[in-house]
Amino acid sequence: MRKTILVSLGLITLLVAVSIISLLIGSTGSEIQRLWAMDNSSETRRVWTILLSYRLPRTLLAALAGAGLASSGVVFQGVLRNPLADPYLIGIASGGALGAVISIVLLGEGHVIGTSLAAFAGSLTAVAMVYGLAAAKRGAAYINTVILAGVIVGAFMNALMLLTISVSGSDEMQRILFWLMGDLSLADYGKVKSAGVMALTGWVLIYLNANRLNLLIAGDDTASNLGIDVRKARSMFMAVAALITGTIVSVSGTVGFVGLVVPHAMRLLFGPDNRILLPASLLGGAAFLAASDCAARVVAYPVELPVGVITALAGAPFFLYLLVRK
Amino acid sequence: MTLPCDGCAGTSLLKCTGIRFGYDKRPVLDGIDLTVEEGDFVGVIGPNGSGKSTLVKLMSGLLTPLGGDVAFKGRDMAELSRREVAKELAVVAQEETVDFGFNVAEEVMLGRSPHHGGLHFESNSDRDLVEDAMRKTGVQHLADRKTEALSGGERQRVRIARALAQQPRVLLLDEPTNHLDLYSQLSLTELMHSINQDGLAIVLVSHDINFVSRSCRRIEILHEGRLRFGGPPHEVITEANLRSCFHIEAVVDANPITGGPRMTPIGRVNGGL
Repeated sequence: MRKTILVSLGLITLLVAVSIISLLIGSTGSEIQRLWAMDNSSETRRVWTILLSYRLPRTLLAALAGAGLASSGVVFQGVLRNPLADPYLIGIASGGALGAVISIVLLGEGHVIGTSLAAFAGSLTAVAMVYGLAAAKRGAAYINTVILAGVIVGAFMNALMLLTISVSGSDEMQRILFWLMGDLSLADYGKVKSAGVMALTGWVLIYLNANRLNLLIAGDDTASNLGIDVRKARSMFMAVAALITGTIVSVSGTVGFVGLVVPHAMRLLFGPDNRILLPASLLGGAAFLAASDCAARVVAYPVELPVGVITALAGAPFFLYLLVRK
Repeated sequence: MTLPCDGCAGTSLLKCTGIRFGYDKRPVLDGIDLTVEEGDFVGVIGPNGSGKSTLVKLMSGLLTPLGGDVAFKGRDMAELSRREVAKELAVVAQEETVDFGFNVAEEVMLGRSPHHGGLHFESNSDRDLVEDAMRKTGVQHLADRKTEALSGGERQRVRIARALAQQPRVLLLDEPTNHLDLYSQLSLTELMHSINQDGLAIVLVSHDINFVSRSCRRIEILHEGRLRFGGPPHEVITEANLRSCFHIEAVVDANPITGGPRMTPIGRVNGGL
């Protein structure tokens, strides 16, 4: 318990620091002084508007997406008993991408809500197909079916997406590319609110069952002998984690590596106990993606990079390091 | 089959009545009757593939019999929640190893789960029980070690500690001597005797005839889907029974120290050497 509190405090401090940097980055020194001045000049109002209307929702969305992806990563790794699993393994990313591309091609890139809803629908379609195939299986067969079906469904959805792009001759390639690499530039409070409510509700539901997730890691029979209804618990975890991931994908595109690397790093730091791992990943994921977004905004200034480029550039070497170290 | 009252005198802890089970139409168990009372110490022996592990899974409710029924304290196993069962029945089985790196103390603490909800941080009494279980099984000194770094025998003792932390009234063990050297087997026997003395009923299944005849007070032989010859070791472990059920020629004499039956295998029936 004391460890949990210490961990949480440390990560909260990190998250706050990253958020402040994210809010201020891109401002000049004199602009930051104006923020403190609090006078009513038009220049001060302009600086505050940039901060509150653009940078704050964007920072919040980055933190939210990071928290959601990392937490669902913990759940998928636990339920599938595979530390290499990630939230996109079961076709969510490809399904979401297909939905988003169809919407962008048909409705245009301006239709942001359409893109989100289509992406969400696409994610859930992919997940439903994978779960449908695996639901009746037991033990290792379940896990193998989920992983294989996820790969196949993902590949199929990817092919459909590329087909859609090719035949449409869409001139919105830039938009599509951004979406596929993760895009936080269209953040607004509406997105933060709706996605936040969904993701946090899901997270609380998962956290209230953290002990059960610990048991699922020990194997189907062991978990059952230790008092949980494996099929029910597993379905709950997978469904909620898929909803969280689908929600995040619908508002931020498919940001890679957060759901894979953050749970891993947190497990190395704090051990495998999900009662600690879940809050640690929530905070660590939020800080990681918010920091990555800062980098995406400034490294090639004035050009903005898709945030997924940064998470992959930072995440892949780290992951390789973990593999080698083991 | 459901008896009217739960926990009243005369209700068996665990009662299998005519259970049948098979995989893909291949029958494995064909009418198993087995009753386990408070404080019993039963061993089920049988050759490989005779359905011993299946029997354990049926008795613990992991599998549902195709016919007959399993009653736990007078109530149908299938109607009980897994949590209700886990509060009073613990299983030590061979299981897959896990990559996630729980340490021994955390692994044993999982045994407390049935007594708590989905989000619970351990209390002092949980910690005491875990401590106690680790001391009884001799894994205290391993508390901080990762389970995947342990030897097979150590891992087995950790699983037993986890089962004891459940505070069960019945303990089922599936092939508990796998991976155990003779020293560990003897300490396992001692451990089982001492927890059995505390009132815990034990059922173990094994192909290790000498281990079971040394350890258990009652032995059943699983043969062709049924339990046969149930009784105390000296009545069950006989040359005739070993010949008919295990297809081995063996000499059975009395252990000079304990007086219990001692089996020395000679060769296969009809097979020569």
